[in-house]
Amino acid sequence: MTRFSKLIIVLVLTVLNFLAGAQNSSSEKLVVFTSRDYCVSGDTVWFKVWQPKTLEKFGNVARVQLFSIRNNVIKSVAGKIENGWAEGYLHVPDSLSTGQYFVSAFLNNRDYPGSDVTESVGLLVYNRFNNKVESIETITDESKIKFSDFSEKIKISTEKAEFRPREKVLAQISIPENFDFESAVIKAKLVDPLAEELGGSFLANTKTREGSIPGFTENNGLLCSGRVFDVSGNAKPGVLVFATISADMHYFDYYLTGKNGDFHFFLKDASGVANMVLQVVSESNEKFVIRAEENCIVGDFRGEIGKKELTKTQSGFIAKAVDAGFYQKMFYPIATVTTAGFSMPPKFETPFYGTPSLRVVPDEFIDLPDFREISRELLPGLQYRLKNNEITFRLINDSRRDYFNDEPLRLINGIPVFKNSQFAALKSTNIKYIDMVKSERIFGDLKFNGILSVELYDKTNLWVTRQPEMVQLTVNCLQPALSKSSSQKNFPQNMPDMRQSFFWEIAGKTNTEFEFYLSDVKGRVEISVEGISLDKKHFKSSRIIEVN
Amino acid sequence: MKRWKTYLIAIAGFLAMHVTQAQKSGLYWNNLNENSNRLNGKLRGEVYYLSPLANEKFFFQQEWAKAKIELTDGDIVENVDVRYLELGDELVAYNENIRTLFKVEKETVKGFSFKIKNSDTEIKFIRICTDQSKKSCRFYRVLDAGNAKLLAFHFVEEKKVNPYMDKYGLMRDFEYRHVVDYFVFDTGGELKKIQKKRRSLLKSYPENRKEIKKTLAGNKIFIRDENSLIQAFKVLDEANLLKH
Repeated sequence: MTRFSKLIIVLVLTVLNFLAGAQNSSSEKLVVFTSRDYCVSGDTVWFKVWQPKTLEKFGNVARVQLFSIRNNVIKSVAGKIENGWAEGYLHVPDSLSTGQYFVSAFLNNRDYPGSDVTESVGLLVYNRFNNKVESIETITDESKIKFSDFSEKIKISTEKAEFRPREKVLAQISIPENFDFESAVIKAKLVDPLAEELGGSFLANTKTREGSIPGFTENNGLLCSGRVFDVSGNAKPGVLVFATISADMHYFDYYLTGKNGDFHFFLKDASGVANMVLQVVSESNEKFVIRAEENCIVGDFRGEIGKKELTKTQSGFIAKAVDAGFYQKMFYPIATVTTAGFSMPPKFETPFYGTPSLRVVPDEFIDLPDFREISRELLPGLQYRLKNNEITFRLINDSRRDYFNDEPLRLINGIPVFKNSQFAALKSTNIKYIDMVKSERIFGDLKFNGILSVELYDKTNLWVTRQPEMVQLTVNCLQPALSKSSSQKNFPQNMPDMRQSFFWEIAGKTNTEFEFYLSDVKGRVEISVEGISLDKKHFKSSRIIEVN
Repeated sequence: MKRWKTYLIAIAGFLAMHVTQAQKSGLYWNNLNENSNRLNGKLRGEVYYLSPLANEKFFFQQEWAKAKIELTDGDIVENVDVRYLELGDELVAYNENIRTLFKVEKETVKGFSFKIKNSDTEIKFIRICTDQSKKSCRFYRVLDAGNAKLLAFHFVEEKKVNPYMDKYGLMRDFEYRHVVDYFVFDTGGELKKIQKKRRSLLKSYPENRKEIKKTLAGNKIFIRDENSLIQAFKVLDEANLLKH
């Protein structure tokens, strides 16, 4: 055999090996673990996302999405990665129809090798209004990742194999001393015969849905994106968009739309749900359409969509799960996970317009009936002029001892206001304080001829809804740090306990002992350790116990 | 069923869009371009007007230098033209896009560094506040940073002199002088003023008097100017003598 042909053989084998490895490989990818592989619509599914060290420089915010076989994104959240893990939950909508769905995680900055292939964990969802399921649409096995069985290496043991409902289970996990792995989770959950067959992790070629979202490295914050169009649907580049979020220290920023009419704002350390007010500034009076852009990926699974007929056992389990969900909702109507309020620590100690030259608190003076009186009596250096029913403000420039030619930047609760009539009716009792900055200020590339900022007692900003030039968007920022409580609540004896997921923790690398309480639901319970080995392959070790 | 779903999705999509009206702002933003969109945050401050006198007398460096500014929120803004204004202790930056000078808001700056033209030496300034009051915050040049830091505070003072005619033909009886005060910022967070004299160091650290004398003598260091002060500081800091 010539040297050349030997080289060809080696090359071919290397490529084949690589391709084979790819089906089991998790290198350069975020890895998602979910607390369960099936759920009833309306349930909460917990996830943990592991980030390999090699991806740390691409950001520490994991975006997690729940999407259907046909790439419809059902839910999208973002969680901060700490010590290599992001933990959070996805609330599955009540009305979601029965089918196979997927949970996938990605970083906004996908500029690393292998980012075009994403792992998605399968999640079977059963609509809670339909307990008779006979067939289900699903992806064929071609994209499924093979898990190595590590049951011989990682041994899971319990004191017995059969338990009764609500009994305590004490489990031990034995890990050999010389055995190491990248990451793993321990879970105990009810076994769904259908999920046993259809569940698992799947590979898909993916790309970002919205090409105009930049591959910005999200560190401790979230990119919020949108686009501006004219009423004919054409993208509007080169218009200025202001974004404000009213908070203790208001967030304010601007963006000049790009060639696709796109704008983006980075909300650092923002968690919870924010109410963002957007305004378009243009020198014409034309109408614009602002549309929020969802940052998500679309997957192209290697398998094909087909229909699977269910066996009696599988259909029976689904019916039981849906019924259990019904009782859960009936006895415990309040969701176990409530969305937290918005929190965004201020970047600096001063507002974006700087330290005010003067702060006036109207409460310290007599009540005045409107802003004209307030400006006359309490605001030295501010001219309030009413001419032809139009109000104009002029602010004095302290350094020049002269009035600015143009109006100052006017704010109400941190939101820029360009219609001065908004101020007219404000009286002392509405206003918490008024800040004035009597100098020229720079914010990025914007220059302001002074600032007049009015802070109201009423923080609801209901007045914004009456302004056609302002748009309010609800932005889901980083999910506040919350993890599923693994210490089992011992449900009262006279109330049903319909839990189907019992334990959910990150696995340590040494022998572990843990306990959990079973619920009233009978069936097979799987205690498993799932993870990624040092050579970046998925592994699983499990033990099944019976609850009779 | 499918058609019904299509209609539902179309209605939902329409509702998800928001129609708004643009407004005239009165702001001048014609010079904004894609470089104006800095996602990590924007520099802010007060517009500064440069006078010929200030240009000549009040700045640390004569020419603009490309600087790296570190903000208190961890953000680093690079490639900004700056000059340190000794009179008033402010960092003046030049915004190329809108061709405007501005004093970068002091409370937002943690420190900045730049290289003087035709020199490889990096000049670094940090902002230190000695108490809760904003007025106590100043920019100090870092001469040496070890366990403790040797800092220099540059300022301009007006000094009375005999009357003279300046180059603009104006009679003046004062002149501006650049003055430098030296400080040691120790590990305890205390800022201690020192002079370019051995006596000053001995007075500031009386518990280590003997050791300081011995170390300086042993290394043949005579403190006369800034360079020898830096040398002395390095040696004493390594020997852990600059603490109480």
